[in-house]
Amino acid sequence: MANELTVHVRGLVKQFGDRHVLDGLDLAVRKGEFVALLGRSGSGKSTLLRILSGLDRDVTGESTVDGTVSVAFQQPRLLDWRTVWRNVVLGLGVNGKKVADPRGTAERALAEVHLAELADAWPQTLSGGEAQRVSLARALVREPDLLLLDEPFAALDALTRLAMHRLVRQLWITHRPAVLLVTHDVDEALVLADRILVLDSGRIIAEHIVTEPHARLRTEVLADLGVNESEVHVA
Amino acid sequence: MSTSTDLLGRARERTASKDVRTPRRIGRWRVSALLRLISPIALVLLWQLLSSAGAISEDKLVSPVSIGATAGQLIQSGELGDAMVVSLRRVAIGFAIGLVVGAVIGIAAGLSRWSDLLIDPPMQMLRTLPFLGLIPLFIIWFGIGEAPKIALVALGTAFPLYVNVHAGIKDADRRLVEATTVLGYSRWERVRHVILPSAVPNSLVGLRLGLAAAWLSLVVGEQINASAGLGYMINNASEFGRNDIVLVALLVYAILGLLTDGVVRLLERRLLRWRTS
Repeated sequence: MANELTVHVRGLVKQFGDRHVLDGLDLAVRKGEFVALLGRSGSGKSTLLRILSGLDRDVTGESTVDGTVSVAFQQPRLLDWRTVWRNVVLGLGVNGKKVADPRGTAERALAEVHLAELADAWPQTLSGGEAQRVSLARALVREPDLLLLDEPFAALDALTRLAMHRLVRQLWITHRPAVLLVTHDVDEALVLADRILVLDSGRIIAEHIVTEPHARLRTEVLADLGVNESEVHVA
Repeated sequence: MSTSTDLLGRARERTASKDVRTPRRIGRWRVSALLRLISPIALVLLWQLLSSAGAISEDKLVSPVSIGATAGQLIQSGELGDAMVVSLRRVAIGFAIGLVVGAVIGIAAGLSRWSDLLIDPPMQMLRTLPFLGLIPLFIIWFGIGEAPKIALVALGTAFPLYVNVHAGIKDADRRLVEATTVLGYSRWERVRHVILPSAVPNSLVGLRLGLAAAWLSLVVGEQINASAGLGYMINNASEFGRNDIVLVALLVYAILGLLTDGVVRLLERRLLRWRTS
């Protein structure tokens, strides 16, 4: 079961004119695995995410995702004219599907991101961190098999970002989707992921397994700094 | 005992302070609204004083009091009411036609690339025409009955609506569209839940501009070959040198325009309540 693949990509090529943004990329993400994808701007990170989320189908090569995909983008991308809880269940009532108790479902998802009290608020009244948590709740309420995180913490201040790391780690432990986190923050990748891939010129050029001692060290240092990560420490 | 009283007291205090906040804000708003009335009232008083002192000739501009008296007579005789009904009917029919046409082609051009390519260029060209200058042409086409007046109102309404609905749809945030695509929305669902709601603020601007254009078109259109309505009343009064009746009719136009604008404002407040400011 541990070897079941959620993402399976082989020889993926994406061209814009003459430029190969993805150049024969291979990628495998196991079920429930947390992978961070690091790379400089223009390395093809966003393009890969767009392909995996089904937004870009004009590619050659093999790319399969087993199951439901959810994305949390860099911006929360909430519909301003819908209240928070309606934004959370945005993806549940599509294609004629009916949800038994949308309000209750939304409230449970919001409670997980500690925003239960904001169910009836308008998105424009939220802070950046709150909006991003709503976005996470919206992504997770679909119980995705693959959660794509497209630099979702880049626009947040440092303290909010640390709190978000902790929250994401908790949510991942609860729901156990495969996660592909795109970032250019090395520290972020080290704290969150089991495995780090480095993308350059449209190919994966390096792979690192994040070892337990490193994570523990970081946790300890952060604890010294007053950021308590004890609950999110994974065995 | 004392703790519970304390708690009750505190609880009561909190509700009370919450209750106080709203009226105070409304109160402040009311005060500033009242303050804004000072200068208009002063101007009307000055006008009345100058008229009473004989500094303003009654032949050119009657006093506010006389306007009030004339308005009373016109209301009692039913003349004003009849004229209003005729004018309101013209503006209602013309505005409704312009609204539907402007919104429908705006949505079509906004949603489909081909419709945009075909519809937008002629619309942008026609928009530059001074449409009030089309009256002679409209008389040739539609005669001198109700049709040219209604057509003029419809035309005046359609353009601002088209332009703003079109722009509203074009400006819809692509990133929101993408987000819902990932959530599995079909094209129709994206249009219904993302693109059209995104266009609402702009469309309301179009609605207000369209309404203003409708009243303007009516005023101009009605003064040509009309045999009923406020414009006819103005023309008729002008021939007899009755500037009091002209002024009453103009005031009625202004009041009706303000009222309809108020309706759109209410609509805005309801539809855009999600906006923070």
